[in-house]
Amino acid sequence: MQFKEERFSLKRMELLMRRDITTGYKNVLIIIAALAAVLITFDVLSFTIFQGSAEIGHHLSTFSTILFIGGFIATSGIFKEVHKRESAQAYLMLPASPLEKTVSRILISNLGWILLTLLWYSAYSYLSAGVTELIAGQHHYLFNPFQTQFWLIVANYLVVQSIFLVGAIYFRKAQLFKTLLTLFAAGVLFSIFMAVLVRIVFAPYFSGMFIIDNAKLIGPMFEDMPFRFQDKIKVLMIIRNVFYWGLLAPVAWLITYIRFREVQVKDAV
Amino acid sequence: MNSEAIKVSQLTFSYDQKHSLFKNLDMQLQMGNIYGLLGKNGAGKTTLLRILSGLLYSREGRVEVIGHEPGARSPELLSDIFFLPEEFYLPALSALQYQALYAPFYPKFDGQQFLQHLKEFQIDVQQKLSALSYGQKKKFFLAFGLASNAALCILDEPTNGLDIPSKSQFRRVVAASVNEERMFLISTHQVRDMELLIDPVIIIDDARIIFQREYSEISKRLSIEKVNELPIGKAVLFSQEELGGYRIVTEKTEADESVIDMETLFNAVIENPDAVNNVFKEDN
Repeated sequence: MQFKEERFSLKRMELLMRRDITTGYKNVLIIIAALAAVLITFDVLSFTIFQGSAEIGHHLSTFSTILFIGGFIATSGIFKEVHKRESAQAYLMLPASPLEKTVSRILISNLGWILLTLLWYSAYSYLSAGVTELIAGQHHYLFNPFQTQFWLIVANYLVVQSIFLVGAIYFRKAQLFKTLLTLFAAGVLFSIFMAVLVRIVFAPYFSGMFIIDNAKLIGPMFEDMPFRFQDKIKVLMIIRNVFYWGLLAPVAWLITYIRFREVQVKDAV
Repeated sequence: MNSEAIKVSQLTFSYDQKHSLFKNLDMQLQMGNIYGLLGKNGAGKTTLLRILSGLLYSREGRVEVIGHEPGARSPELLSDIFFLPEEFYLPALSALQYQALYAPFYPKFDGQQFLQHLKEFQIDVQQKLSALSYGQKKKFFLAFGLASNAALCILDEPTNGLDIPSKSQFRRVVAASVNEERMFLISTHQVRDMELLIDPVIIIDDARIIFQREYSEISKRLSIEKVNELPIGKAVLFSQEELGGYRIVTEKTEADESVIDMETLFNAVIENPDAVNNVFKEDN
């Protein structure tokens, strides 16, 4: 019944995003201006005091760090309004459907963040080049977003960021920390699971919890296996790719939406 | 006959698994009225308002608000409800900036009306909302809600934090804003602030509606007066001692209508609901 009343309007989406950007842009501007100033200072110092030289990969690594870390921080706070009682009431009562509200926040935190980082980072790289050239007589290679590596980084961000969206809607406080902790715990559990699996599958090569002979695991192991493990690895890689590139983000978005629909004002703190 | 604005049947709600706040609650409210929802602290007034606004989900039962299920939070319904909570959030924008960002969500929003209400409430349109006092914020939010022309205005303790002139302004503006296509549901425990404004009166206690009557019915059936001594041989439904005598509630014997002191009525209903309701039995 609730789905029947669900509506999706691009006009309302635009209004929601306009509202979110207008009420939140000042803080973002302050942060990115401060960050740009810090980065330019570092660039100047690296060429003068530390006698550094221009690096080809400089911008790609710095850009990735800012995109990912900044994006995770921004994403973790994207539903903060929903977790505070007063603002939750106002936001939940805003005349837009839960789907519109979720999609607008997803777009702001992924495509919006990518676009913002791209624009300000380009501006910073040109500004930094000018300043360091003036002061130190050299500069880093200019930031070029039109390279394959850049888009691969962006694609990875879109996937990984979706996990932080789920954390942002699920956790009422300290969303970033709790998401990281959950990911760490999931990683530990997955490692234990894989260790147990390996112990069971490769039982003949183990004595207790230890491998009998490392050398045996390289060559003969695959020949000894009752099935063709090499082919299975290819299948596993395909499954991994489908899961990572095709499923992870949409599933995370769906979970975010479902959770958002469930939010009640009593959940806020 | 006015159309039905709110229909609640067999509503059950609880904050935890053990204790039900509402159990099988039924309620029907019509357009064109300013309902007063009265109750003690913790009676469930705010919870009920939040359920009607879709901010809380009921566990069982059916809730229909202007033909919609509030839990679905459909934009059609949300643009037709204005909810003024006791504690609320306003961003650091001026009144005009707020209007530019939020008014487009409400198809029936009237900009002229908004400015008129702001003028009446003496709110500076250029001032940042975050810098306003609590009472001014409340008046601003109320002005916006009224200008949205939402069919259902739900106000939770609206006079809390308002000074005396603002309370009068509030009553005047609300009384002027109600019409056949609009309904107000005002929750309060400050019953004196709402006298001569709310009609009908709903009293909620122990998570049940224990009284729901129109003002005209009440004033025809009940008499509230101050006496020096408690009358002998006259059935007193409720009495409370006060300076120089007693305030008593009795069944009315004359045909005329009397002015009802809401606070005494409220106390009488809370203390002796069956006796007070029995007086109205003939009307049912």
